[in-house]
Amino acid sequence: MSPEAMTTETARTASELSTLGMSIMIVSLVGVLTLAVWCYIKVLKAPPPSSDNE
Amino acid sequence: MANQSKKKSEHWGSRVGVILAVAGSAVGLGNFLRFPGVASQNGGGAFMIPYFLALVLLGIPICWAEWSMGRYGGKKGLHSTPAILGAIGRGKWARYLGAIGVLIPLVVFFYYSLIESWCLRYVWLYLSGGMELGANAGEYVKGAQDVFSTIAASDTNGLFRGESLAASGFWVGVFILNMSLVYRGLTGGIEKFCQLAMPAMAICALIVLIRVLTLGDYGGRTISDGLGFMWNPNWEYLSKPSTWLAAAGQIFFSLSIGFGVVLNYASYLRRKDDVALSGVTASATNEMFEIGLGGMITIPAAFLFLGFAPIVVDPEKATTFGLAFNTLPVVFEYMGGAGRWIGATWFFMLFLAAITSSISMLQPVRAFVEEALGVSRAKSGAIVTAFCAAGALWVLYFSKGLVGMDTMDFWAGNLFIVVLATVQVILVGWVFQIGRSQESPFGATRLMKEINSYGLIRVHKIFGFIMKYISPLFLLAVLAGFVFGDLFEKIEAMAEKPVVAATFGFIMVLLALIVVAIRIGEKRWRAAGLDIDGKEDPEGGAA
Repeated sequence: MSPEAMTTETARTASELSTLGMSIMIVSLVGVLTLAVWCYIKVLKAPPPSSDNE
Repeated sequence: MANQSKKKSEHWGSRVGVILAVAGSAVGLGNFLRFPGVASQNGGGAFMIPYFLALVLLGIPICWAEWSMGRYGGKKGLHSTPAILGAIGRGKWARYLGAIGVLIPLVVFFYYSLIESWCLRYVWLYLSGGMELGANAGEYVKGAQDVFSTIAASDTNGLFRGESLAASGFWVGVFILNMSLVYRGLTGGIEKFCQLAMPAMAICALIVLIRVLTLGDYGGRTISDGLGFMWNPNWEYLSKPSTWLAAAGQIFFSLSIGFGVVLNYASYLRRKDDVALSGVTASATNEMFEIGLGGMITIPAAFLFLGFAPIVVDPEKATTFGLAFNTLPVVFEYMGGAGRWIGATWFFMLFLAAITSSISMLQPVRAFVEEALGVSRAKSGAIVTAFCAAGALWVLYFSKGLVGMDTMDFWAGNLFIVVLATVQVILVGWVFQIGRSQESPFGATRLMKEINSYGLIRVHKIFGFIMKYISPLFLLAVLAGFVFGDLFEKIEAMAEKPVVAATFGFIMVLLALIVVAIRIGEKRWRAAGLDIDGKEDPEGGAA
């Protein structure tokens, strides 16, 4: 890592979780959790597939 | 329609069962270890923008394509990657390119089974109180490195010597467990195991997550600082092409696209089973583990105890192996008495993540052997066991500096999967379309029809455009990144290190054997009247 990049990284990480960082974290977490829950509800509520007549 | 196999068809027991099996295949070490390392080194929270874009433009569309290709092959009585790609790509070139779809899972299993045995060995060390990193904090880092190099026997080549004898014993146990699960079949082995292992993995991860989030101060740092390190955005990274490439690569490896696994698993769906909702559910499960658990545990905990320097100044430590086996044992040591139990829980979770992936590597290989050579499940099991034992013993023997494992991981676990995914997307987006009068010039209409047939959700036609144009371009960019980034370096390494060259040669011999088996299989498939060139529409009529 270059010295400039290192300085930028140090600045980013020297502080605790920022409001913006927390917002990104929460939006990401809630987003994937909502998607997963919605998917599983739809999967579980769906009727079983009709026979293949195989 | 000449797609009836004489053998009784094997199918999944339930919709949730196949979703958890595919998600189990996708959720692996990369979710808990690779993702946080890559994200924290590529702009933290800012990384999530290219990450989610790659998920929508690359990950989910290719998952849908793989699920639908697999079900299409299954409808024709085909379950192996070469046979399915032959039907999708309409001929022998696509079929022979499918050889790498057998090679990848086979080779990845060689070293994945070994990593599983390491995880189990760590569990044992924690539970038995044998994990001793040193008397004081100054000795922990060196102690963790010593434990890992002893377990991995990374100081020297050879088999069954000294401490590695115990490691080999764990590997034998793990190897037998993998083989027995796959031998039990889809519903009795893989599906049943994944239905237990996936919730168990989530519970273990939640236990570790709760402990990490309730950690106190250390050296003036809090867990909030650790989360800040992981999630605070550095927007400058968005202007770097390497960040976008890293996001595409992470999505790609995380979802197990291009392994030949989803093709095989989806081929056991019934004709009228859904693929649209199932594909996105499996992907969402994977993302839940990756972002919700992987993104919250490893890097924040490592940052709290070890600070900024070991993670970013030495990026090697933030890679999968470094984070798992060098950094985290140090973190658990800092946790005091509870660290022993948290460490055991953590490595047991990694073991479950790895084994649900490794059994998914065996199944496509077993299916190919059975299909191409026309042998029984017992015989195909014996052949696969023999090859896997030979390959894993190769990795075990060439353990010095983990060169054998690294070489296999580069070729099969990285480069070839990008190649296979690119081949698949081009075949399904372009060749699969040929001869369809209703084809729109802007989208993969036939593919979209295949994805949406019997679907529980309707996939918008814009994804046809994405799959036909955007996904191949994205994949070609990832492939170019590999070629210009690492390929030449690896080729040079072959000239300098005989073990690297020998391991590459070993992989090529396996590839040649798979090609021979496809040749044998072609004659059998034609004789059995199977539509291996994709000339007939499985729903009736000519393709």
